[in-house]
Amino acid sequence: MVLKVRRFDPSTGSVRYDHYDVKHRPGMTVLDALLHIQERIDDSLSFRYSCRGAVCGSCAVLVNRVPRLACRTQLDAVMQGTDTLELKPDPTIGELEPFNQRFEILVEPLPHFHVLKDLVVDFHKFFRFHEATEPVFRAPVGLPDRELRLEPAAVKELEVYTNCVLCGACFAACPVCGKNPNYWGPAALAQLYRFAIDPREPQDDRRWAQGNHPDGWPACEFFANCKLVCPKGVPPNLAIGAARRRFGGPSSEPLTTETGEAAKTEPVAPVPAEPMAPVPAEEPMPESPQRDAGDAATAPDEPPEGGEQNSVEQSRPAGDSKAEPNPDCPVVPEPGDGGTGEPNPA
Amino acid sequence: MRSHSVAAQGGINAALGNTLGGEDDTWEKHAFDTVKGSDFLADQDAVELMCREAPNAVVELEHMGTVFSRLPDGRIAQRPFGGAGFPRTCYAADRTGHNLLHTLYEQAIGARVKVYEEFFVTSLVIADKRCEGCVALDLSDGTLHGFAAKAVLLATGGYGRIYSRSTNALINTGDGAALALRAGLPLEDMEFVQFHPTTLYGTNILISEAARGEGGYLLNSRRDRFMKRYAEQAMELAPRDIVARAIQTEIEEGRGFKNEFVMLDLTQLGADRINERLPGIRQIARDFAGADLIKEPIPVQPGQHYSMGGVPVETDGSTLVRGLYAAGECACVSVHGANRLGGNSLLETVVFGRRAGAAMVESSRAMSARSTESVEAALARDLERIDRLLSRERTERVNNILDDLRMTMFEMFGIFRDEDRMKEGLGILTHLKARIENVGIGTRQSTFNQALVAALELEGMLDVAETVARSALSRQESRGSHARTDFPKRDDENFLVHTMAWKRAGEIEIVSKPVAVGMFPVEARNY
Repeated sequence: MVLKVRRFDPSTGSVRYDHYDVKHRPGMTVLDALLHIQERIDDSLSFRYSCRGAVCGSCAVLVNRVPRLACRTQLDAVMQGTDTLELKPDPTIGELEPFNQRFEILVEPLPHFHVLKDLVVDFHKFFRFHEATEPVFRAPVGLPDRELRLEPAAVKELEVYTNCVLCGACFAACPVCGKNPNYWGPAALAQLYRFAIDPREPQDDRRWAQGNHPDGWPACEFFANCKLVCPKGVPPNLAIGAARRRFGGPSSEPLTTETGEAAKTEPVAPVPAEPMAPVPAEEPMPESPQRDAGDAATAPDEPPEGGEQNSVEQSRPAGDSKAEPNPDCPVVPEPGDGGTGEPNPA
Repeated sequence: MRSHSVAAQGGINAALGNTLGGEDDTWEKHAFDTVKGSDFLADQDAVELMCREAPNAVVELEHMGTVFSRLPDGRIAQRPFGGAGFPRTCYAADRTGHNLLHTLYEQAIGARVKVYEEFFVTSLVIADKRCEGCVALDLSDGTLHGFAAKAVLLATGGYGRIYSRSTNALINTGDGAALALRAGLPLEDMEFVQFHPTTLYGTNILISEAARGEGGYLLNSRRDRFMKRYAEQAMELAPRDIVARAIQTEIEEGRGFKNEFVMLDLTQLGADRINERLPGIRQIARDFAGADLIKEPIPVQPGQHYSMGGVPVETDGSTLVRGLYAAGECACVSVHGANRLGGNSLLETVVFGRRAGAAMVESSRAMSARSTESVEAALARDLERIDRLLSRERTERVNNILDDLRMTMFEMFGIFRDEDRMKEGLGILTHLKARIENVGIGTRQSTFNQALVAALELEGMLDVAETVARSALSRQESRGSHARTDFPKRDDENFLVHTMAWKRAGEIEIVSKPVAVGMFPVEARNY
């Protein structure tokens, strides 16, 4: 079995696809395969992981063009097509890298995020949107000594949304996130909804109003890819639909037309909410003397090792991809960011 | 937010007395169960403190917004767990750790805590017998940074990944313990490594004790509920060390399946109860074993699960070095002694984490800014060390050594131990330490050089493994998770003490420290 993996080297800006032969064993996941490659074939390959049990949300990548947790995606199921998801096409992604579905599995970084290195993407923007919803429980005044009461039925409703692991798969699958760089995205809005429906919070309009601006509830076009790709079964589209109904907007019914083009919706007039506290800017730690880690920071990268074990397809010459947008790149870069990995605060 | 706490499934213990059968629960009962579960090795003053604070800790988390599972009247629901005879474990379905961790993450957002994400600490800075900061590698660009600090807290989790067959996240490499050891601190009770009875065969992903708490059976290949022969009263809900040994014995005596596993049968619970109480477990079994536990039993085997040992701390999280604190699984308070009860690890983390935070604030308040001289010196040392590592020619791969280490630890320092095997294991560890000198890295890239991190982690893992090995060899008795076939009995006369492993002049030295016995006299441990 061959993993075709998108490589990005930030020191040269070069993009290429490497092919790795992986000896398959039953139950092997995409993460197992990536670890095998890193440990045995090419230790320059970078990707995130932690729990390997589909609970920490670290390892979301694009597998055959679908955002998935690498750790719960089995190679067998992908190859045999028993685990397929039909996503609504995302016109913002641009040209797609071809691959041979008969013997290749295509692994790429999540779209709609900046790529930092190989499969590692920059989550700053995603987390800024999450922070912008002020995801902090507003306890009522005069707390009792004991727990606040909460009906089991309310728990059942809340659980649907507290199950979110903030992996970013929904953000990567959402065409609106691709075209509107300011859209808060499905995960943040689902978390906002989680607090809005919590009966223990003060029952005012604040949470609903927080999302009622052009980049919040109204921006969703109900592609519903978010619900489809969520590894935890969270349905952000339903949350957003419910919020929209509160403002007399369209319901959660899919609004897409036959051409796959989303129907135009009238953005709901933003309700003035309490001003959000500004997110603190990145600042250097005054007490932190910093130096380059010797040669580590400047030495040119060695070519991938183990050439005898994997054939390396150089799909474009090194150092030739500074100009964005890169046609090979499944990720739509933000204007003004050439993949340098600079955080791009929302 | 990606830390291993997210994987805690079953719950958090607190004597709330909410649930039928547990109305008369008290912190004293909780403390007794914890001490008995620990095989009387826990320090009773610390246990008392934890169990007294437990109800407040759970209520505080609820007031921060955690969505705990509820009783029909809206109070927090509780379920039975191993080592207690009635429901005491508060839970959020079988995703309790996930819910608590996300709640605390939200609180950190609210408090605008500055987080340096994806930094790997390469050393602690110790000068004048106090901790003055640390040095850390920024994975995103390969730069090394010095952090001058009035107080440093280690919260790095356990050392489970020195073992094969571990339920732990891949990141649980014992870095905090290794840093402390290298900084001149001892490690306490390292021989006590918990093996969880039920990890999914194949991947060793945890199948929560809640599965048995809710009524699951363990069956051998003769379809026999074998626990009746090991713990007649408690059956499947005996403490973890006892159930893990029972399963291992069944397998070794030929009553397992494929000589590898036994079956956990939940089919009698019914779809509704499983979907309500154990939805995460059901999904894990489906994702990773292709089995639906509503319809069929699932294959389970014991696997490394928890590190009882760690950096010795007081009940305010302080260590033997001023300014250095530790909390959570990397610390040893000790409230778990020789065996931790299910539902007590999340509790320990929040109770003692909170106390450590308060102590750090208190001690820092009066301190003036300190010179960064020691930090800069440490930074220079680590730069050189990393440079050496990066320029070393590779004749050995990190992962070949790691595989051997993990196999050795599981085979020689696993569920059952004896002197001969452990001495052989120690010999292998010594050999591995020599091989590490040949480890090289294939890439010098500065961005996300995970190979460099793996090599740095490996050095620490070998150090930590040696403390486990030497501590286990020195304890010539069986207590809690430490089961020696050559010394099958508990020996209170000689070994009712903590094991302290110091690294002095490159050698691990073992000394002992008294156990704080309090309101519960040491007695036989039967279930």
